[in-house]
Amino acid sequence: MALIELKNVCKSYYSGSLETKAVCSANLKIKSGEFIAIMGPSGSGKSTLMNIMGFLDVPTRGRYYFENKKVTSFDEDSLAEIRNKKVGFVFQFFYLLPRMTALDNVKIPMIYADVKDKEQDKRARKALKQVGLGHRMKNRPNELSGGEQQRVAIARALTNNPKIIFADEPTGNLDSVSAKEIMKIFEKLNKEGKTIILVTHDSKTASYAKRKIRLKDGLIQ
Amino acid sequence: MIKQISKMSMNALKENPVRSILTTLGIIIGTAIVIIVLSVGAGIKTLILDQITSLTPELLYVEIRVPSSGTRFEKESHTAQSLGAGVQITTMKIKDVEDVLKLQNIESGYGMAIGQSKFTHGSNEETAMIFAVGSEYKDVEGLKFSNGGFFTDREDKALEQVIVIGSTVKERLFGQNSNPIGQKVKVNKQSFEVIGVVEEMGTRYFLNMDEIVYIPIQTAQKKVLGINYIQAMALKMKDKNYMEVTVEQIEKLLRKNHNIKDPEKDDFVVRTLDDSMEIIDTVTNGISILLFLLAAISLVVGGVGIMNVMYVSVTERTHEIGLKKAVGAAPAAIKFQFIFEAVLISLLGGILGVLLGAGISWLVSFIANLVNFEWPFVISSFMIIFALSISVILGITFGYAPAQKAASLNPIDALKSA
Ligand SMILES: Nc1ncnc2c1ncn2[C@@H]1O[C@H](COP(=O)(O)OP(=O)(O)OP(=O)(O)O)[C@@H](O)[C@H]1O
Ligand SMILES: [Mg+2]
Repeated sequence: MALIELKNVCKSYYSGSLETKAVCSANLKIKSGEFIAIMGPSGSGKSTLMNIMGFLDVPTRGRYYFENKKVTSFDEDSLAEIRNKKVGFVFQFFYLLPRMTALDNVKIPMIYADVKDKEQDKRARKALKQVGLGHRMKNRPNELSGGEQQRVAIARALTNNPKIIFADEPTGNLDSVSAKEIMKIFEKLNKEGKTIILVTHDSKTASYAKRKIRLKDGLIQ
Repeated sequence: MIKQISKMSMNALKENPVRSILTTLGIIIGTAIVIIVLSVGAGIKTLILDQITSLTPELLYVEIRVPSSGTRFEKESHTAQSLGAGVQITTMKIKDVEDVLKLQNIESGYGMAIGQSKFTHGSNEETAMIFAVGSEYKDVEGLKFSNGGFFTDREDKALEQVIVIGSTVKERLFGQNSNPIGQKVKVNKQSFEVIGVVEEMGTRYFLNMDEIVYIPIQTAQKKVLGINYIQAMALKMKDKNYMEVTVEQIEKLLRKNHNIKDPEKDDFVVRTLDDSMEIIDTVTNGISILLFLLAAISLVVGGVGIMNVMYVSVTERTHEIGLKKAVGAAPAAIKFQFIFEAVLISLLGGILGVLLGAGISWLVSFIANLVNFEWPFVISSFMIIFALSISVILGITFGYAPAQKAASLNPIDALKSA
């Protein structure tokens, strides 16, 4: 049974009458527990495809089934719930809130899942330890290195125990040593059963994945 | 969840304390005016009631008036203008009082003229207001005396040269611990015997009653004021339930005495307590409405200010909103965060406004009390709750649109806006 199934998914942007097809006729099946790298040159539609699969964006055409349910007909509240409970995101630029400590940043998804305060604290600490940041919980993002910030972001993605982790160029802003550490974490998470979907144009990063999807001009090759 | 989201709203305010305070200015002023209107209004009411306590519903007042046409209020302002311009109505006489007193429902009454003169005793001088009144004044107005008593109707008719003085007049002419009864006071080169001193009264009808000298009306007309008319009469009814009939009878009688055929040409007006209350209400309500209008304007200005700042806040935090939506914040959760922020701002303004308004109201009553008015400082929990509710409602109303905008942002676009 497929966890994710895309049928003829397209995403177009229009400026006036000019149509840009960011993603075109995407057909894709992803099973639970896979580790996938989406690859392709800049502008080929990798992020667009990932955002659609991660419920951050909606396709202009085609159908998206998640756990055999048709996502394309979900309303805003249901989408929010799925983003909150089923998936975790890791972005190239970390996107931590600057005025909060690492611990508080990790708690954000749990606030919207209405997790009790004590439980939030317990889970956030556990997640930070899991990514090797047990000693930096009270630091703010500007007191952390890029690699550390990305690990906080991963911890944040983990706290609601999602099925899938989406990562858009998670190592794009990191040096090779930090990048390797981050990829080791993803590898471990995948071994523990999480589905990982990774966007990268770096073949070294992609080598951690078990399956590669190549995009060119919005088309899956 | 609500607790933590509320904390986010609070933190947002702390990040921009100066901006938050400045935004609240309109709300502060508006709420302060609301409190002042309510508090000072209540104070004024107490003050006025205190000033007219002696106005019992049985009393009717007949005053002279310059005949003219137009509505009632136009007539009154016209009267004031004419009197100011020196037009004198001299048609009301003691005889009118005597005739009115014969009406069935009239128990007692007195005629009155007001003047001013210099009084001397030895080397002491005092210029005082003269109440030239009939002997019934004492009972109708409920005068009390610290020495002696009031003149009688017989003394009035006999043109006896007797006076009753207020406590301040007594102090100025005779000194503090003296008994002036039987002593002579000179006015208009004539000698008057003091037969009574009125107990200290403070202000009534917004006049300082302790600085008044009472002279029998007929004595005063001939020997002090040099007039043969009166300016007003006060009448006490036996039964106030027949007020309307009684007023009609008085009007008819005076028209006959004054030879008036057309009621439009009346040179007098009969006032009841209801009329006085009506005038007071009209004035105070007018002022209140004006002030509330002012309050409403500043509150709306304040509300628009909040809306403006909330839009800025949403724009500044588009990125944060995008991130929150990406990790699963429902639109309602985002909306709540921003509406709560707006409510916090306006509530802060409301609280400061209540404090400011209460402070100003207290100051007003403090100053009024300094100049001897019984003006209490009134503030009730109702006023505070009312004012704060207004600010909360404003916060929700004007915070709604920006919050709605935040809630409907697309997560990806919002995230990219970094
Ligand atoms: N909001 C948008 N409005 C218009 N065009 C867009 C928008 N977002 C993306 N595009 C266009 O869609 C195409 C695919 O963009 P996308 O971000 O998916 O590429 P990508 O493969 O992730 O590239 P990169 O490796 O540079 O991140 C590009 O041509 C881009 O210009
Ligand atoms: Mg991209």
